[in-house]
Amino acid sequence: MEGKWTIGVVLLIIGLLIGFGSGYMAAPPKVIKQTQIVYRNQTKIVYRNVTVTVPQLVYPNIMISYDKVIPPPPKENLTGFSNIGPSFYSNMSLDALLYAAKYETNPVIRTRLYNIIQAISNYEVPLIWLGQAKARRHYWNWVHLPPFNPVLADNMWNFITKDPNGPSPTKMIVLDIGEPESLDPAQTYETAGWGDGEQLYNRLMYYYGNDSVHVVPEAAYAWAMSKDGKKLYFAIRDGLIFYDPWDNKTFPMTPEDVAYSINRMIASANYEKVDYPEWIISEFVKSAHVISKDEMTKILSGGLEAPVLGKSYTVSSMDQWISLFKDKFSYVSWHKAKTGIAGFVEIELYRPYLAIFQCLATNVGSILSRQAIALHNSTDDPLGLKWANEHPVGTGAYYLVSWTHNQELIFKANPYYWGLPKPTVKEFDLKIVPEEDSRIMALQKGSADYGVVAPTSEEKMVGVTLTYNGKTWKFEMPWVGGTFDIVHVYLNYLREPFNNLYVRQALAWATPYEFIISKVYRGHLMPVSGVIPKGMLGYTENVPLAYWKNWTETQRIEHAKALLKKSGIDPSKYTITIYYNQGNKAREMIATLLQTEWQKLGFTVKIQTFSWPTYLQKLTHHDYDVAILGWAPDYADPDDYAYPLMWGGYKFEGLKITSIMPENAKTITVEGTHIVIGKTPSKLPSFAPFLLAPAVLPELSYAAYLLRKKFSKN
Amino acid sequence: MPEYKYYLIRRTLTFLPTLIGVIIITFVISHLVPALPAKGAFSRHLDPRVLKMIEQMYHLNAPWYLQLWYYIRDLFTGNWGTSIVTNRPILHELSIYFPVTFQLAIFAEFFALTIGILLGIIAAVKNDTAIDQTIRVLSVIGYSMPYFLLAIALQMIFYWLLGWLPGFGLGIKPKTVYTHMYIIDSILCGDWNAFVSNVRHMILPSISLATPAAAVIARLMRGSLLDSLGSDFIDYCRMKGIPERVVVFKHAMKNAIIPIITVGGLQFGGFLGGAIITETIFALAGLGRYLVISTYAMDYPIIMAGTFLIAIVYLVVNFVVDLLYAYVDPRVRL
Repeated sequence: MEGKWTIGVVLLIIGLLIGFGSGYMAAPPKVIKQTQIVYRNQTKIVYRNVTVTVPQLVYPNIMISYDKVIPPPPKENLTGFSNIGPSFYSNMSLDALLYAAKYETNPVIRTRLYNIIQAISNYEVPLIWLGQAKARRHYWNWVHLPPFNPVLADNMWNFITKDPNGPSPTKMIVLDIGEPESLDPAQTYETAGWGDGEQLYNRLMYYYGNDSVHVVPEAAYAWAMSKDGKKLYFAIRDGLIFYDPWDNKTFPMTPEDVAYSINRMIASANYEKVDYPEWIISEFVKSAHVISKDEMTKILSGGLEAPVLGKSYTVSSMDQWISLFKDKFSYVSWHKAKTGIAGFVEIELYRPYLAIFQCLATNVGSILSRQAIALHNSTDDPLGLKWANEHPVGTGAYYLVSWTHNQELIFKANPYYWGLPKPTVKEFDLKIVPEEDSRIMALQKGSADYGVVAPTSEEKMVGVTLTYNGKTWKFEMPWVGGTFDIVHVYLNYLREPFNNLYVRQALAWATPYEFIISKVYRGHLMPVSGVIPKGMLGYTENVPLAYWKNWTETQRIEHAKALLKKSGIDPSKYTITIYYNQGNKAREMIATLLQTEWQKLGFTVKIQTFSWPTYLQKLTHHDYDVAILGWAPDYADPDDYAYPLMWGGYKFEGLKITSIMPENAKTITVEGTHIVIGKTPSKLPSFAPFLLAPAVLPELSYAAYLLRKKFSKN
Repeated sequence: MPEYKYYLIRRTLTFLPTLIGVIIITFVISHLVPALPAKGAFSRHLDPRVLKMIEQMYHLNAPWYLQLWYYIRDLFTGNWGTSIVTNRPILHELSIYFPVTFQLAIFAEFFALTIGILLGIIAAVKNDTAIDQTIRVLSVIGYSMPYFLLAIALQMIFYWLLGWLPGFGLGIKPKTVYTHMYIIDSILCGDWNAFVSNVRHMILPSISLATPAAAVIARLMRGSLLDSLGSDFIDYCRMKGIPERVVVFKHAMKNAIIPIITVGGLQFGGFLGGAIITETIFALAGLGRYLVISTYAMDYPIIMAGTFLIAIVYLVVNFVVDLLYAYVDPRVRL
């Protein structure tokens, strides 16, 4: 008993020492109080048959230090979307957070950082977040569609079934407004191409069901990351077969194909091609290569981190690694189909980037057949870009039969498809019908199973029925959730009065969100609290300002007027011009509504329209007051919103989350979390040997405390 | 016919300056658009190196006179380049889209001439009767009705309401595609299912395209035939006791058909270049719709090549019409 007490006391002393050390080393300013504790995984600690569950704490105060900061270029050299965000808003603290969040590899800390960024985007209003697009499906009820997932460009066709009593139960006719620009993943950078790619190819990992946050294994059976986050390891699933309908050949998918596909994607930037989506991988990935089982086993023995479903697991043997993925993803239908391992691939990153998994889960991460490309490449075109453009060879559930440009694409079920479920709809005909009325007519007639219906035409499809096989069928248009597309209003920070926080907030309050949502978008939009859309990692409604919620007009305007008064400006001295691009009816209507509402604050508001190229030219060269634009993500990660839309142009060297109090630190407090940002201290304190990762320090102290309590009870 | 040979040479020589004019105009128009072509498909991730590479590849940063020289040289050496948007060779692109329009134009021309000439003859023969009045009213309606309205009306009645004919797209793809004109291809490979399907798909768009043209031809035919029937030589034929059918179809028609050849020829050129609305409504991937898409995407090489192709088609059709005209009417050769 005495011994237990002794251990408890020793642990307590260690905890106190570490706590003191960390407090000394990383003493936050007095103004900061710990107001919130965020928990992540729970860890069990066993000592002499006594187990305590220790919630691993994340220190609520975040300290960020950097070796060097490079300020944004002078105003005349600023280009929106290039060296600064499109509103030209610049805030060094926010930029440090954006950098920290971008490269953080701990999923829990990263989520918290994005919560904070969301709150800042809400409070600072560098852009007015008008809303997030809402998805609605349009189909006859003889079609049964899988759950909606906003990450996917299209439904996964092998999950679609048709009623046997409906017309053509094994064939789907789909009406679209345009064709893909290419079916080579290295050359297509638009929805149609990515939607078709989902059916034709497999990627290392993908999404399942309606989960848009977590990736699940696809061609990779398992993955892991080195401790420093700079190397990724993949166990490649065995039994996948490429079907090449153009040469009537099949090829087994090997780890060499995986490494080839990634390296080909990176190399494709150097060739003339249809489009350039490769940056989604090449910006982060240095190279990929195959490694042997022995090498993999050796690497595993040193311990690897496996980020799975928002948590990180340490694995140190092959069995442990494979078992982890077998257990965690047992709910994924195709994961059970093929369980053998064909080999291993190592991917080297320039620097740690947790969202690389989301990048690899896009169409850009599709796996192509090295052998099929080799049959059609040439010395001028070693990557076979010209051939692969229209001749996809993949391991997906469907293959392309024919493509008549701007007319139709015909796909058939891949007889060699490895996954589950196997496609029950054997043929998909995508017909390109750009004219809205023709498409509506064809849908009403039942000539197509589903298709694109513009919001303005939806009322024409309400209550549409037809009789087939003695049964009355109905055209369905259910709302299925938010997409990841957002609409926003830029306020040029380089011009007065938009450099005044309270003016920006006042304009945000005076924006008639509800009216825009119901009248302009006919319900195809929903409010959003900040830069990150709902359904994505980091989204939170725990934000400082509630201007995006439903308020009466009087409440909105009164609040906005109070803020304007606080800003100290005289609105009658300012003329605001709102720009939008020609032909965009929705933006024209938004501009008119904003004009009406903002004039109530005392501003003179004008509207001007430009052709698309001129509009973009003006936007990127800060030649505007206010402009309206939308944003669709390249991959499902908040970094693809927060960074391009809000980056203030600061660059950092050696930026990291730290436990050492930075020098010349600046503190900001966001929703209960104090963020301390400053330069890395030039001289380390004398407690240096005790330096540990920031999240570990309070955990050890807490572990000691819990153990002591447990022992005292015994 | 030595005078016909001289006419042929004279007409061929006038062809060349028009051709040069077309080349210069297409080149100039494309370069007056105030936008950087390589930024046509704007992307925030467009690498400046790639942008430079594209500009160099298409000589977009060379002086205008050098660009014109490259343009003319490539035009006549068969190097029409590749589309900026699709990265496919332009000639390949045109070989896919142009046949669809050509097939549609042939069908439309067939309907325009058949319906127009027939109604014109009936109206002229039944001059000032109720039939004549009805045809005249119908031709005014047909001529004045906008293309899109007629197309939608036909689509609604015969596809949506009655379900007699398909309302959009092309028919079944023939087993073998030789020319990309599916009707011709299905005949060539003996795929009769595809033939029937494609003919059915072509009826509504071609009638909608042909109707205004048929109305013009009907009015022209009526007037021309009435003029011809009022001539002295027709009175002379009648006095000789030649049957009225022979008078109308053999003697009066030979003179009356001359303006129809001119107008019909021009209309064929118009069908080839101006079927944009019909192709859009009936979801046909023809040249007109493709050019509109390319214009939106600022795909300069395609815009220039397509415009050049349409201009050449116009020139060739005009040329053929003139030759035909001169053959039918000897006065033209003088």
